[in-house]
Amino acid sequence: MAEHVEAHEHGHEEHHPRLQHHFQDMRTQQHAARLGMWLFLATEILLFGGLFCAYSYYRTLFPEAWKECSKHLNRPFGLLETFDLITSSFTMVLAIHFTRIGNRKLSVLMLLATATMGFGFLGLHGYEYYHEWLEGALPGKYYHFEEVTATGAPMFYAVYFLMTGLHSAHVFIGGVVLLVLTYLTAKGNYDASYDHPLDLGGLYWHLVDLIWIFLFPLLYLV
Amino acid sequence: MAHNDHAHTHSARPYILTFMWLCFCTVLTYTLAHKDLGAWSFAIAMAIAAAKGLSVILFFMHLYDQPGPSRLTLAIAFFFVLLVITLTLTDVHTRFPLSLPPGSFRSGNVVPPIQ
Repeated sequence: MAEHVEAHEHGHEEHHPRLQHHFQDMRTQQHAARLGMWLFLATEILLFGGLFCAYSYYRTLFPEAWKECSKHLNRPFGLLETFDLITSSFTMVLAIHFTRIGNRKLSVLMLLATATMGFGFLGLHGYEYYHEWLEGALPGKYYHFEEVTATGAPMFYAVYFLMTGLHSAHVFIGGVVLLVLTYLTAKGNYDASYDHPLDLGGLYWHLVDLIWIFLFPLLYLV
Repeated sequence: MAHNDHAHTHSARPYILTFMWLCFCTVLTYTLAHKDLGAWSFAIAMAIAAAKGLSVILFFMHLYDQPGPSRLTLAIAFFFVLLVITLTLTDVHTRFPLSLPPGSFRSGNVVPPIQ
């Protein structure tokens, strides 16, 4: 017992200040944090999985409505949003890269760019929602869009608003997380030896991008 | 394996290549969507999306150099999503055609006047 305490105290001097007591070293701590994040991301994938399942079900029932409604979504906007999210994922990995090579200034800049593109995405999507609202292309009984009269069109918009709405909520949460990470990075909390929160925030942001990669062809390019 | 060990040799090149690949795939899927490929168009669009998704997971999310449990977690999540979708679709495709009652499935003037 005494030996154990001694060993522990001895090790203490070499500890990284961010190392939690119950972890052997920083690498183990990071692996544990990442695994926890992956478990959370798995639940997120299952959450969206239910909606993808609903999508497949209703697309099978109403193939015509899916084709017609999809044509009325703004394809160039969808493309722009896709590039926006892909680029933001790229600047996110660069932010972590710059932290690891010790360039804090560029890291902060990249994080700011990522957050800006995240909120930019919300702006673009909000503009689309506004137009759909004006046209009456809305879910269920609120549907009164005259250009598409195919059976099932209101179901397309129900699925569309649910999937993109849940996704946009994730973009918003991710954007707030990014702003907090930007502040903490600027304060100098992270460096090459400790960047775990940046790493986890990055994983979340990439998941948001990953889901959009599937939503774009499924909704806009039917 | 841990990046902290290679702080000085950490290279951004894989990220740049992944980004270029993602842009290429996006342009490709957008261009193909405007061509009439018939029954193949859905399969091709999904294959491109899967290729993009996989590169994000492997290189941006670093799963290519992560220990087994993280990979297993993601694989199980994807397995269950595919299982749920496949089983639901086999049900829908093997049923007698549903009669679709008028109501919220149909468009047009179905909104009842507010009392």
